[in-house]
Amino acid sequence: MSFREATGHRLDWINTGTDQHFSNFLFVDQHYRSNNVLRRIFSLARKQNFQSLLIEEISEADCALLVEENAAIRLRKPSFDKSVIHRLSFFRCVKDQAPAPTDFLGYVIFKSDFFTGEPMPKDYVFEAIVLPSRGVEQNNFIHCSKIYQVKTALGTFAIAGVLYAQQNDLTFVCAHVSLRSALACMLPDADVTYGRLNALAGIDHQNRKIGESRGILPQDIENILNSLGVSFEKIVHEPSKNLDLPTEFQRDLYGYIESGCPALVGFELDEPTPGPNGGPRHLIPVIGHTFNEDTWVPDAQRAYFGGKLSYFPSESWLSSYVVHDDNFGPFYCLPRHFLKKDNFRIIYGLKSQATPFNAVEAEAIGFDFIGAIVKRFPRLGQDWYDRFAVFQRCGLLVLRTALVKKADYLAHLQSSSSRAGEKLEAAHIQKFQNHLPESFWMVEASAPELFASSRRKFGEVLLSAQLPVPKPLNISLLLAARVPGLVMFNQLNNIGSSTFVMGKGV
Amino acid sequence: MKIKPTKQGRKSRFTPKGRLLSLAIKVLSLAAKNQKIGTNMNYATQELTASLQELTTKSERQPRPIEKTVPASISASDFSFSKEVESFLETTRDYSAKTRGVHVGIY
Repeated sequence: MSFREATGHRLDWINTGTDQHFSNFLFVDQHYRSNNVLRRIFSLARKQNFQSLLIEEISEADCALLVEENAAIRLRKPSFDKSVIHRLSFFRCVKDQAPAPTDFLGYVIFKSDFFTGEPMPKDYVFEAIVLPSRGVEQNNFIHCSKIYQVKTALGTFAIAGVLYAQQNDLTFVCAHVSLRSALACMLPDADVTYGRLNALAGIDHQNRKIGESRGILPQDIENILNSLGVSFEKIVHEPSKNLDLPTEFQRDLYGYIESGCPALVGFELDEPTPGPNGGPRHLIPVIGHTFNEDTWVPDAQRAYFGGKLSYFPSESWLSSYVVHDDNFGPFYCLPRHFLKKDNFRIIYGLKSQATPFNAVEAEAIGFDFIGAIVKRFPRLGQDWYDRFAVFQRCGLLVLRTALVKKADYLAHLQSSSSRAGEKLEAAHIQKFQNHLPESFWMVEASAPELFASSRRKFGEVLLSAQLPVPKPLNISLLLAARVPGLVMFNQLNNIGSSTFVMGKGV
Repeated sequence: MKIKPTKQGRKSRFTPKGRLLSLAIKVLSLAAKNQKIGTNMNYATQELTASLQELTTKSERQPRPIEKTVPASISASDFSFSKEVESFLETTRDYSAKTRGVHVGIY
């Protein structure tokens, strides 16, 4: 049983509005020993204008997970005495007013572990799910949220979010909490216990201990992901081993996030006296990104700073990655180029399915296919197709690539319409329905002024996410394409005889 | 193809030598243009502006339908793939294979 399902003993329900002179700082200072992560979470709740806080205590008798967690700590450190757990729930309504479902803003499980002979307990946020303070309207995109049910003394409430957690540095470390956040986005249960992660990594707290400067190995992370059946890709940059990543890791990272999956990013800390394998390292989950419609970067990068690409990757409009950091709290923005290769070391990009090539490679292949279509049809005599062709010939298309599910793509086709309000004919949608596999790569093509302002596009090419890249490259990867006025399907998937049947499209 | 007669005293581009020269210039200028588009944003933007203006002029002269069904097909042989993309894929593939078993550091 998780802390979300456990029955809590109600300690208090207090008003927290600023008109009530409630101070987040004072409250956290007085009751939670000035914990910095809790202060961050309270500040996020303040941005959501929380008006009341429900405080409950959860005991071992009501929560099997707590029993398991405490047993692990006792095994790891025999001086463990007890723990105190508070579940703090944030509401938009004031105290004594029955909360509506939309009043629930999230919860925190705050755990204090007491050890014999130590004057102060070890405090940490065992888990929290709170609303981010910015959403799509503010150009913040988090595609991997899950919906959680939380049982409180005031009723059971739903909250959508990405689980945040802080390490206890004894039975779970930064890699565990990052994995937990990421796996929560991928696993059907939307959570995983540290006990399970440790069992999969062979950590028993006796023969193999973690915490207090002992972390886990990349091999452990891979064993855990493999054991749980979660597909992933690894991007490595290890200068000390003469392994210099030939591409920009930001583009790979963006590919995972845009495909609706989280990624784990590992980096080396600056250390004056690093060991043979460098300085200490930290791992954080990346769960979303922000978007800047008016960024100078796409044009300037190519015009002034020697960009060699013949298109604009949509990642150029990305402003920051949205990350959790167990040291500081949830929903921080990591500026796109803040983390440089000097410190960057690894990405584990989680995927909804294994694919023989990644988003960056799919985009390069899609770029070639788009070029071939324009070469074959330089003009159609239709304004939007002809503009599309001109942008392609001038090397000024914007390409955005994501791994998509057929159901989502069909819903996208059904909801899309041209500027004149025309929708794609039902017969074409049916063809896509019949023709496409359950998931595939979608490489969208747009123009900078379209993409940045309205997110509209000229169209897209769809590539197989199952077949490996043939050598030499041929059209077997191309499933279909949709550009203004044309809908094309690769009917035979055979190099010698493939034809694309064209029809009216939007 | 027939070779047209040349005017006296003037070297024609339609002589076999002239045609080759003309073709070479055309190929070189196309290559230079593609090179410029690939690397020079200002040039690409100028090209885009000119092409869009050309489209607009044509469109104004002859109003075009919003939608038109074009029966046609593309055969596999119409597709050609750039060396750059092949080379990029090879580089990423090789690096990925090289680092698959690499495990450095603790987290």
